[in-house]
Amino acid sequence: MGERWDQTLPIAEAIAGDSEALSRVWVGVRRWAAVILIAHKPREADLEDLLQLVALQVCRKVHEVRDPALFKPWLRTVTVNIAREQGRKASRRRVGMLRLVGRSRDDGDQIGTMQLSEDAKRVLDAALSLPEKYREPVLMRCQQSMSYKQIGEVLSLPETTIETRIARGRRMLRETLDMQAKQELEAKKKSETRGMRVGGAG
Amino acid sequence: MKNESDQSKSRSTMSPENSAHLRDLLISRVIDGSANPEDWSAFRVLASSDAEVWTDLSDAQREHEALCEVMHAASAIADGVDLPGGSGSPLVFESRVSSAARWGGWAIAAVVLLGWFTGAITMNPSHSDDGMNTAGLLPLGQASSEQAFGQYLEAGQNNGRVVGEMPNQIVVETRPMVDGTIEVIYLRQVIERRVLDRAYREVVDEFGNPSVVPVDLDTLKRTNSQ
Repeated sequence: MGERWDQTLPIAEAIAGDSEALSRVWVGVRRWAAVILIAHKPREADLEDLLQLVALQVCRKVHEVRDPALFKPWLRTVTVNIAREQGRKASRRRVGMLRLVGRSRDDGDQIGTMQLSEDAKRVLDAALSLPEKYREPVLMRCQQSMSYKQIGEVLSLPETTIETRIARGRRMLRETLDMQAKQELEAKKKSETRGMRVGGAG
Repeated sequence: MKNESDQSKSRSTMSPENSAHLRDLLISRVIDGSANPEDWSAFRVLASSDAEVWTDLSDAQREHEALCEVMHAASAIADGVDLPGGSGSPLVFESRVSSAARWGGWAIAAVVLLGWFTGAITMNPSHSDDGMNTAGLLPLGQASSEQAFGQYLEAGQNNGRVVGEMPNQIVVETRPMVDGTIEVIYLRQVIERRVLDRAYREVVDEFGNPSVVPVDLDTLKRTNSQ
């Protein structure tokens, strides 16, 4: 349920007030809404909390969407705003709570309670450092293999632009990770050299 | 979409910028499984003169898979988030949320300030300011934290101080421990009720300094009756 991108979502019915249709639409879009949240939220903010706020906003405001064709871009805007505004608040609250229990900051993963491999964390960190226009399509492409066309519908961009941004974004991601790897290697070498000098002096 | 692959045949005549763009596109299409036979031909031509393209392809594939792992985790979370109002209409839920949002901040400020003025809020569990009947309850020193919390809820409900505990606990952090267990830090929320003859709220003056002012009860009554 909701695992595949559904072109036949009853968006018009949902806008007209059909609550069952709205539930079906939500199931069809909640996964890519989660990706947009990841692309824009502060690291400490909890994905599930923010997604619940998006769900609430969909319930409250969907009737304001004038044209079903505009629903996806509208939902993206709502989601980005929640990620930025509520994310900041939630992030501050969470840091405060963690401080209460003697933690300065959440050093865990950025996807709520899910645990990620070290490789996934490292690549996600690098992906989140990409400029926004590359970050979103690169991440969305990983979500149940949304096609360029489907990503374009959400981002209101032509398919060819999406393909170009994904290709460039992937190259930038590769370069970022390469650079990080080189820096880590250099730091390691320096540290080893320093250790040898200290050992030699002793 | 595949026009670029035709261009690959005349790659040698391309500007370095276009050539790099085509390289990015071909790698990306291979990863996405959308490369057609022409793209593959272009890729082979490219690889014959630039062996590094295989390394880049392999790296890009690994990075894509790592991101897919993240998205898989995100999907599992997203699948658990339904529209609000599952047990009732979304409008009822909305009304509850908006009224809580309207009064929540004020109520919290009032309670905190009440504690500030009367010293009623204390972390000392033996402190009791409402004279509750503790007969039949375990002494705090003997009760587990769960039993003591249960006693607090029961006694509070009996004397009207405690309305109830919120059913959903808010998870602040979850982390796996080395012994295979999972540590969960979460918030338990209890709704309490107090009857006050005066209340204060926190305000910030024009210089940004926080201060407290008495709440005008007449204004509050008028607002409540709307």
